[in-house]
Amino acid sequence: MVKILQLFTSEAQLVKSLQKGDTKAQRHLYEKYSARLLAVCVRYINDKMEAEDVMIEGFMRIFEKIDQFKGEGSFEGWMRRLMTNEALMYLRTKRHIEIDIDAPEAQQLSNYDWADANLEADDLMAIIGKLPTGYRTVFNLYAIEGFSHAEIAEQLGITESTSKSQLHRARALLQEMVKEAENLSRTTTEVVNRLKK
Amino acid sequence: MKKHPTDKFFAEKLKEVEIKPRPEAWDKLQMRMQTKQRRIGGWWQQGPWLAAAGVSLVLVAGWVIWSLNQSPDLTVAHKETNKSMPPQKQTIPLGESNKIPSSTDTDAIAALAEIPKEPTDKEVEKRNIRSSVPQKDARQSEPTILESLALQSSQEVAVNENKTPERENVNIAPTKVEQPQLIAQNSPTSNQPVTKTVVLQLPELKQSLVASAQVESNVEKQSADNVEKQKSDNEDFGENLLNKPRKSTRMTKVWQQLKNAKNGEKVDWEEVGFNPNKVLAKATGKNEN
Repeated sequence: MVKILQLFTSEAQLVKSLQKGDTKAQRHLYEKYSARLLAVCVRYINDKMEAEDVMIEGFMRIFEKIDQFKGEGSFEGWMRRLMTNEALMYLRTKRHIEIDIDAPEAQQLSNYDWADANLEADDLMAIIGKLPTGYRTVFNLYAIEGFSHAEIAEQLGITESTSKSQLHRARALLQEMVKEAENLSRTTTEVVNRLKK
Repeated sequence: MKKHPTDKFFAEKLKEVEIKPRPEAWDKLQMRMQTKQRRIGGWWQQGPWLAAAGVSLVLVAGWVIWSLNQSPDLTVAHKETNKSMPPQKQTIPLGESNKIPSSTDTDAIAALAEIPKEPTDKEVEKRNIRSSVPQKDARQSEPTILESLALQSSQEVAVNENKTPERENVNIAPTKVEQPQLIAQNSPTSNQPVTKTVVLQLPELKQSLVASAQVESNVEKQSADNVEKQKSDNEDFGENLLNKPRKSTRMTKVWQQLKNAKNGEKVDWEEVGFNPNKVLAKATGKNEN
């Protein structure tokens, strides 16, 4: 592993080797980015096994399309986009995206001080996993990947207003769930402290 | 544009999240890549041998098509070369016509029609059976199309033969025995494949010679001149069959013409079997169209 890492000191070198179809470079890329890219897949697909399968397909796509990467922008960003597309394709083919248009409008979000939120990334991943697929997909695309509503609407085949309303509902639900999780963690720590005393 | 606090919070926390895949995931990825490469990488990527095989296959197919297109020219050439040894094709049909006196003319023609066809063992067997057993009902259903084709072709050639007064057979009044003879002489030339007749003749050589002897005795009664002619023809045939196989004769002719070409002498293209000038003219004519 150390040897492999030494071989590819710079990203440009790694990309060059990948473009030549070097299996060592492929292995190196996988070792370096698989965990991060699997996390991207899990954000869209709640099932870890299925997400792993999609990640494998995503890596295959990366190796196939490596010639298309011209060094403009970050390589990781390019890979993330490919992985996101792969996850969306999976959701589309499996018809997992259920956009709940008829759901009641989310209430006005109360002011919540996110700075106080003391939740770990794993907890947040679990919370996102609880969102309905439509909310989760739109929230991921908009809040984390940074797509615009127009782009999301085009990707998912929905209107821009639907994308906006899905995002609004997702935010409201997330806030609620984070609050609940915070309260739960607070009470648990209190109980643990009392028991310690 | 200012980012919503919820989005900001989640984006910051989740951007660097890592979930380690199971160790077997890499093996799975490798396996899938291999199968995909095998699927995508077609036969042309399997190596230059396959490519070479493909090219040679195309060349062979092209040659076969070309030779098929050239067949009409070749038949003309064969017809002319056949004139020197016409009785070669006489023997079998004669034997049959003599052995089956009860069968009608069309039966004889049907039997003749099969001569230029592919000389498989099956057909040889068929013909043997037919000649020994004079019943025609069992096979009547099968060769009906062949019969009609044979009739057509033999008639055509018969007309052609009448136009050329070289042969004495034309002057002789047609009898029941001689009519199939005429057809027998002509049908192989009309249906052309020369090499096939040689293959057919060899296993029945004895039979055919006996048959030709019988014919001689029959025809003797009618015309002495005719018998002499036929006798000499049969002898010629025997010599041709035993000493000069058809294929080698043609090869030697072609070889001779090639020698002529090499020595700068005049080349008789009809001997070779095709004329490159004609082929060129045909090709350019096609291009113009």
